[in-house]
Amino acid sequence: MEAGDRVGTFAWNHHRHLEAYFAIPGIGAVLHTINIRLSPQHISYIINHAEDKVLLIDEDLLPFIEKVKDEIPTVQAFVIMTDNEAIPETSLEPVYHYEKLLQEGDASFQFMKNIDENSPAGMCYTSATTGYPKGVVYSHRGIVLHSMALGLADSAALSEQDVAMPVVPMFHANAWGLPFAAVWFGTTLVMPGPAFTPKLIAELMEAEKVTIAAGVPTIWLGLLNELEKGQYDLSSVTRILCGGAAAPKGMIQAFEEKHKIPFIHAYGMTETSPLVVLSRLKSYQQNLSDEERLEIRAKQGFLVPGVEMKVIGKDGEVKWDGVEMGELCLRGPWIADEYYQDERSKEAFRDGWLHTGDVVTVDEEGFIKIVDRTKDLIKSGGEWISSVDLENALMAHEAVFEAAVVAVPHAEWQERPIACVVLKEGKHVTKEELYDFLRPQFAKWWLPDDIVFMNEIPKTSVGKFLKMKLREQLKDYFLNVE
Amino acid sequence: MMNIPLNISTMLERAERFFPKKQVVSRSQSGIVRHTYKEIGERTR
Repeated sequence: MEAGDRVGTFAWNHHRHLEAYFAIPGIGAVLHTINIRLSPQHISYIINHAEDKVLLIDEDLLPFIEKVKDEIPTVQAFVIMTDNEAIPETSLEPVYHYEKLLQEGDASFQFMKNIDENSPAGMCYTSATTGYPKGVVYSHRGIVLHSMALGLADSAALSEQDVAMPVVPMFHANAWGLPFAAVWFGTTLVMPGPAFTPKLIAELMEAEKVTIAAGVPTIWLGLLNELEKGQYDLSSVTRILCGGAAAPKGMIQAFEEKHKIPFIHAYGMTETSPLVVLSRLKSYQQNLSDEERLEIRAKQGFLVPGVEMKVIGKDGEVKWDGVEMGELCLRGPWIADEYYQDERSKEAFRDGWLHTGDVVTVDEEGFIKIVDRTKDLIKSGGEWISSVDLENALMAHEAVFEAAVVAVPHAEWQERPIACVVLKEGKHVTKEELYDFLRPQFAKWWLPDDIVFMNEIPKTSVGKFLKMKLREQLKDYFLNVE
Repeated sequence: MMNIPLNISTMLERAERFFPKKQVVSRSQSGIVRHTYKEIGERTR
């Protein structure tokens, strides 16, 4: 191995993966965490694009790499992480046993000194709407400074006193940086391991007296259901960190009011290490009504110290009024400045800022609320309409299972919204009833020009709406009407 | 002031030095295993 060489990991959250987090950057190499849920095509693409020289693979995940073994010529060694004495049968070669390599190693080995702090330490690929995933490279400096931010009292407030459980995978933006920060601060770590279930998460949290856990809304929805079924004492938990997607108000309420577990909404992306905003009430907001507090807590929050933002709308920087929409742009010492060897860098990184592609409003207190993705926003006669707001309103109707709102080209207004709705099984509602339901909630020009009932909304491999496909299906809608 | 480069290995070295008794609890294929930061440091090196 030489400085700068990439080592891929293909693994769950466990102590061996944690060791890789330090061993690889410790010799000046680059820790490339690979998402185990990608398609074989994307897995081989990113291994080739990163030119991984060695792969560390969990035993139970071997089949995914065996499937692409003939397409990844840069890989010169496969190291298998297993509890068993022997390496399992595999078509990969050459293979090594992780624990046996450790036994041969020198426990007093000195890590490489004099590493340039701006040199690469890690990398992670993030899915793109079109095309292959894009690579983000993390520097030593970025990771250390981001870890420090996780320890700030008004941020995640991670400390030695904590027992931290990253449920968020170690291949998602370094499990939000928690493993690095926890080790640095001496925090007890609890790693949930392979193929966990909500039941296992609840049991581990109880048994190990976890104080802080981090994950995406799906995980917490699963835990909520589990808490309904079984008796668990989770009184040790002082906060749950939730990010990756917006958490519904109902979920925040259920954790805080029913289960007395503080719930913190946060926002970031692979490109931002990821922490940039986090929703905590300010001192003088504590006395607001329950409803007002929940309204604030359901926003993504305000900027952590160390990062800068600007929000650019159709007429330049937006007013902080909670209404005007603009694209969130970020810069800071733990924000990426390019995609690794990728033409798409020039779209996202302009004039020294990362253009996130997220459309937000900012309220008078500086709290950011994500209202859409730039590409999903409906630009109607110079005004912006949030597809997400309309979708959430529609999905709050008791007969609606799913709703996706897309922009359709329009001769007079440039674009107009059209809603695609899937009803719950056995439920019925008419188009007119849905309009009556939406009218009191929106300005007239926000209302979709039509509501189309469908059997199913097309989705991506990770379950997000495939709006591109809907837009394609509906692109001639107004031509056909005329 | 001093311009000291920031480096990931110093984070682990701090854990080894100041928190050698603190633990990493890990659920693996065969159950729960516990390692101290002292052990994690030795295994990482």
